[in-house]
Order: sequence, then C-alpha cells, then structure tokens
Amino acid sequence: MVVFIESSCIIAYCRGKEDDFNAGAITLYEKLIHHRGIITEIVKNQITVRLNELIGSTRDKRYANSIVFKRGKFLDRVEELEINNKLKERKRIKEIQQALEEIDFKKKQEIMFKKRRTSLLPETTDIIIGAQATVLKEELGESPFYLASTDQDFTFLMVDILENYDVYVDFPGSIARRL
Amino acid sequence: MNSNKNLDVFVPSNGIILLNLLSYTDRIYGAVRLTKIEFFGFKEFDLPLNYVFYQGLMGPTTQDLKYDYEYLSALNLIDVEYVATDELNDLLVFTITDQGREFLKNYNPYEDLVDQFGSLIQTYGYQKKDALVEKAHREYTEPLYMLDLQELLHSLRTDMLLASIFWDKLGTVYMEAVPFWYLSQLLESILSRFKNTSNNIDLELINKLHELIVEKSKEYSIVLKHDETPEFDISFCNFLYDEGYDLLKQGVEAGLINREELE
Repeated sequence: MVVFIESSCIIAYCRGKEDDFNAGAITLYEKLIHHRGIITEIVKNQITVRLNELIGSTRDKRYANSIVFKRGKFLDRVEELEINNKLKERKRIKEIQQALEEIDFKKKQEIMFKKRRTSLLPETTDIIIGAQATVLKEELGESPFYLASTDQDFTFLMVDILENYDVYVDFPGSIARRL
Repeated sequence: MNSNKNLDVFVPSNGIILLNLLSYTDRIYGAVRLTKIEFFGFKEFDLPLNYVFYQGLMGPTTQDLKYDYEYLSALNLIDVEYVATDELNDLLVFTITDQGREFLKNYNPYEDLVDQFGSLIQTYGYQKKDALVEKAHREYTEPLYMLDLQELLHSLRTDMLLASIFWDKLGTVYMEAVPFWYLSQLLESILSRFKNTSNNIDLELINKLHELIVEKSKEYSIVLKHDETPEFDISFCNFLYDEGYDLLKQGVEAGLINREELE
C-alpha cells in the first residue's frame, strides 16, 4: 500500500489548526509509520514555495519554527522518489491534459472560481504531479495506490482521470481511515 | 543598535569594527599597519574581532582581514587606494567613505566601544610600521591568538543579528529570501541562549551555517549594490529549511528551544 502525498496535504499539516484539513493530515501522518508515503522533488519544491509565503507574511519567529519543524518531521516520514521513465511521464502529461479538456465546462469554471484562478485548467505543476503519480504507480507496481490531497484540482477535476490509472485520489483523512 | 529595518547591505561584525576604526582617523597607511592596529586592538583594547591571528613574518597576522577590506571596498563603504612606492609592493591607503559613515550612523552595534576605538587610534594609529612590527615580535610570540568561546558566541550572534535584519528587508521583496531570514534568526536565538559547551549541540553545524549565511549575505549584497536582480535557487531554499530542521532538533534536545513552541 502506497500513499503519494501531494503538497497541500503537508501544508495542511504544517499550518496547524488554522487549516481545515489539519486533523486529517495529522491522522495520515500518524498512519504513515506503518505505511509507505512517497513524494517527488516537485512536491517538495511546492511546499517550500508555499511555506516561504506563509513565513514571509507573518514574520513570527515562533510560528516559523513550528512550520519548519513540522515540515522536517513530515519529510522524515516520507520517501522522495525520482521518476525513471521520463518519456512515459511526458506522454502521461499529454494524456491528462487531453482528458481535462473533455471535462464539462461548468465543472471547470466552478473550480476556477473556487481557486481564484484565471484559467480553466489546473496549474501545470498539478498536472505534472498527477502524471508522476500514475507513472510511479506503474514503476512501483504496488496496489492500492492512493494520492492524498486537499487541492480541488485533484479531488474534483482529476479524480476520475487518475482513477483510470488505478490511482485513488482522496482527502488525507479519508485515506487515513482506509489505511 | 538602531532598530529601523532598512539595512541595504550586509556587513559582518569584523567589518563594522574596521569601519569604526577608520571613522576615527583620516586614513590608515599600509596593510601591515592596519593588521597590527587591529591585532593590538584585539589584545590590548578588547575589541571583539573574530579573527584567528597566526604568527607571520611581520608578527601576528590574518588573511581574513584582507577579504573583509576588499568586501567593504566592493560595497564602496571604504576606499582602498593602491599607491606606488619604490619598493616591490604598493602601499595601501584605507579611508572611510561617506556611505561608510552613513552606514555606521544607522547600524553600529559597537557604539559602547567608542573609547576603545579612540584610544587605539591615538596609541597606535600614527606609529611607524617598524615600531609596530617590532612591538608585536617582542611581546606576542604565541603561535595563535583568537577569541574565547563566550566572546566568539557573542560575535557570531552579532553577525546573525545583522544578517537577519538584512534578510528581513530582502524577504519583503523576494519570497525566496525568507529561508535565509529564518535560518539567521534561528541561529541568533540559539546562540543567545547557548551558554557553555555542556549544552549538547553541534558547534560545527552552527559554524557551518554561520559561514554559509555570511557568505551568501555578502554575495547578495554585492548583487544588490550593482542593482541586479538576485536569483534564488529553490533547491537551496529546500536545503536551508532542511538544515533549519536539524538545528531545531538539536536546539530542542539541548534544551535551548522549548518543545511546546513547535507543536
């Protein structure tokens, strides 16, 4: 059983009680002692960028310490993997992009407004992360393969697409309950 | 120190001491004379200089002073003029610039050492080079001279305080600068609570991070001085947060950071 952790999940853990998904992220973190959690470099980078913004906006030393400590704790518990088959990753990105374009306009518009984005499609990094998860699923050959995220792009738009590749997307709390 | 957070460039504590010295005199002639003045200041006037002075041909000397005055000169805080002489080497003439004086007005952690700077220049500032070298040879024969642990920690803390002010300002413009601010303030707070070696903390790690921040602060100061846009590497930001986590863990184990703060 493998859980691919998306950045929003780790950020929910770092932000503490302020975040709606904090409780779920904590439960998932606890469960990861017995299960395999994985991330990729792009996820780690996303976390850092987001945490830079958080720490930069508060400049509270105590809060900064707690964020960095929790980031380290979570990253200690997960493995950072690299994609071996880059070609497959690129192919998968195209497939996901195509599948996204076929999604109903209203659904995409709804998520766009929710995320306060200007474009209908998810950010490129999110599409890449989705593609990486599907490639890793095949490379590791383990099943079931979960993707934990609190991001609407994953949990609403891409959930069906990724399910076609046997990657099950859900909120961290729900995944933790299933582990 | 002045609390207005407007530090455009980073100057380490050793550099600020050099600026202070130069502000008490018109100019200092010669690199050897400058080294000797700094050394006597360190030994006889208790200036908290974080250099390791070792025995050279001209008495106790250090290479780091050269890097410092070259760096200050690159920032245009001091002027280093090379005057040709009838000997092989040029004579170096050091003067403080208006920008340097302005910097000192805003940020001078050594304001309470005014008397020491004044009397050091009075005593040794205008002596002949040979007299200074001879005195150094006669009175200071040990192979190494450096700060003791407590003074060293104090000096490192001053550096980190200055660095955190510098990065705090930079962090308002560039988000990627935030990890530098974070690490410098963390080091500063750990160093200020650190009392003795019985605290179970890795001094080598602190030293390594201190050097890294000082080096990067200098690098970015020069970039900003030339009105260029600094570039930050995301993997380096990751590295800084990773190191910050290591430091936090050690701080908690050593009892320097309250664990409850982190949960």
